[in-house]
Amino acid sequence: MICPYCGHNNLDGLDNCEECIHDLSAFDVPTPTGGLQQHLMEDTIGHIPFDRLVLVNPADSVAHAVSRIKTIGIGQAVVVEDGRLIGILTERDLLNKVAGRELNLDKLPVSEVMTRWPETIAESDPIRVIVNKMAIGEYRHVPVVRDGRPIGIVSAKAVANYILKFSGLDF
Amino acid sequence: MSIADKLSEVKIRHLPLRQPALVERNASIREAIETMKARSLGCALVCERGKLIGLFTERDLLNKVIGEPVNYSSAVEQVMTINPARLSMDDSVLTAMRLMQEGDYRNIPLVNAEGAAAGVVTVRDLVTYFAEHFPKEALNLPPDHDQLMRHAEGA
Repeated sequence: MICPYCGHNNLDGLDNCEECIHDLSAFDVPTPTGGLQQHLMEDTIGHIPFDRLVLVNPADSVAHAVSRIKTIGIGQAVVVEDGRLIGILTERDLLNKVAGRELNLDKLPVSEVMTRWPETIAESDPIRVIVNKMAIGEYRHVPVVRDGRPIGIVSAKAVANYILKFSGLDF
Repeated sequence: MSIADKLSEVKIRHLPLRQPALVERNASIREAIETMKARSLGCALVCERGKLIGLFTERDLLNKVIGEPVNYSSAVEQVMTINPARLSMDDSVLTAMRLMQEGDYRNIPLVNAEGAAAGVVTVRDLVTYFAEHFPKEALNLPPDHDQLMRHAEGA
């Protein structure tokens, strides 16, 4: 990139100009060119419709949690202690740790089956952060937290629908 | 090329799909669960002599099996979703995204011209495809000062 101070032609990605050592890092930050890219970079998680939230306590039984999430018609419960998120109980946890085993679900506490300290996201994060987390971490549901307290869930499905909405196609 | 053009041109067969979990209709629920776990997939394709006749998903497991008086030795066909929506490997990524949106699906079975189960495309495959093929939009994040590596470098 051309240094705006001395005009020296530097390699892309350098932090400082090779000629005059002026700081160039501020000039390399990606800027959106429009369309979906702009939405991904500037819209925040708050623009995606959240899945409904079912809150359970770690000491609740798995039977209780399952019955709650089935009633609401979703696939996961968020586990809180004193209102703060400490885990998530997902369909994948049930598949891997409960299904096919002879367990008394009325006696089995959620804390033994849940995934502890799941990846979370803030409402103010740009949408591409969630795309990034889902692609790299292979998560399908990421809790949205405000000051450590869960306020919603973003699903991979909601993210895919969002991408579809702004991909430049008419629906 | 615009994102819309790319999504409608790329076929499902071009995605790095995982091997599907396949079970016969008279297989037990336990067998279906074990196959799904072994493949780390959220669904099993239920077949009759190779032809797709149903889909058993994590949601079916949650709604019809866990906490219900169902024996894990029962046939999976008793709790599967019959005659699920399906696509071909030659349909576009965009078609898969649209069908997932319209039908509220997370997994879509793929069949060949004879109706034989050939694979499955999941919502995660689509989000991952998107992130990998539009890196400037999705992955090229500016530095995050709070970011910590999970492991020490080289560990």
